[in-house]
Amino acid sequence: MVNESLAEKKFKQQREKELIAQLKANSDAAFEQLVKNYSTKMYVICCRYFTCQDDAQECLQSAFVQVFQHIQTFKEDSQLSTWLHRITINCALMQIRSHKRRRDTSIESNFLNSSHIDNFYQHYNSYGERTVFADHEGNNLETLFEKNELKLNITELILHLPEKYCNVLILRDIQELSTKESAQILAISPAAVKTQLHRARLLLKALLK
Amino acid sequence: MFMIKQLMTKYVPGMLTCQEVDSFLYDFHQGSLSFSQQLKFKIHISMCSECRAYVKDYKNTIRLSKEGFTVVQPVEKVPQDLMLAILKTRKSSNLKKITNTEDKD
Repeated sequence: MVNESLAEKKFKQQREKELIAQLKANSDAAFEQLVKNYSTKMYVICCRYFTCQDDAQECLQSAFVQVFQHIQTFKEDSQLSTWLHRITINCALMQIRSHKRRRDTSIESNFLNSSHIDNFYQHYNSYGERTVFADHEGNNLETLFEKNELKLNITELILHLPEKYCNVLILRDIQELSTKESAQILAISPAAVKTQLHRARLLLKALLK
Repeated sequence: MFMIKQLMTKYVPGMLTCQEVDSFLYDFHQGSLSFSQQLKFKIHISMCSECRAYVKDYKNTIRLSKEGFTVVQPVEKVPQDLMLAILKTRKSSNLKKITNTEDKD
C-alpha cells in the first residue's frame, strides 16, 4: 500500500514536471490543462478573500495572467500548486489594496482613512496602567466613529485597517497561515509579522469597541 | 484594590505592570511565553480585573475577525465561461507579445 502511494506520488511528480516543461514551451494544450486542473483550487482561495463573486472571479483571472507572464521564471524549487497558491494570495492582496486605495480616497471615508488610523495608540499613566487608545490630539476611535455616524461591519473594519495590518491579519487570523508562510508571502521577516499582527489586533479591538 | 495594584507593581519584585502585560499579550496568546513570564502574567491577571477584561477582548477580537469576515461561498466548479475568458486573455496577451517581437524585427 505504501509502495503503491509512493509510486503514485512519483508518477504525479513526473506528470507535473512534464506539464511545467510544456508550459514553458508555451503550449496551448498545456495552458488549457493548467486552467482545467488548477482553476477550482485557485478559485477557492480567491473566494476566501472577497465578499462578492465578481471580485473573486477578477482575482482568479489576474492570478492566471500572472502565471502566464511568469511561468518562465518558475524555478521549480517548490511544487507547482504551492507556486500557484502564492500567486493567487498575492493577487488577492493586490486587489484588496487597490480597492482600499479607491475607498480611502472616496469622500465618505476620508476622515477615517488607513493612514489616520495608524496614529492611534494605547496610552499609559506613570504606573503603567492603560488610559486611552487615542491619537496625539487625544481623539479616540470611538468618538471618531460617533462623530461621523459610521457603522461598519467586521469585514469593512478589517479592510479599513492600514494595508500592512490588514494583510497580516487576513493571512494569520483569518486564513490561519503560519507566521513563516505569511512572512514569505508578504516578503517581510517573521518578527515583523508578529509585530504587525499584534498591532492589527489592537487596532481592530479598539475599532470594535 | 486600585491602590494595592499600584503599590504591588511598584514594590513587589517581578510584578508586571498593565503596560508590560500588553507587551506579553501576543506571546501569551501564542503560548510562547517562558514559564516564569507566564507565571508573572497569570499573577497579574488574577489580581487585575481590567487586564482580565483586556485579554478577553483581545481573544474575542481574534475570534470575531475570523467569524465575521464574510467571504464568497466558493462554487464546486469554476464556471466554463470564466475558464474560457482566462484562456482568451492568454491568447490575446500572447498575440500582443508576437506582434511586439515582429515590430522589433
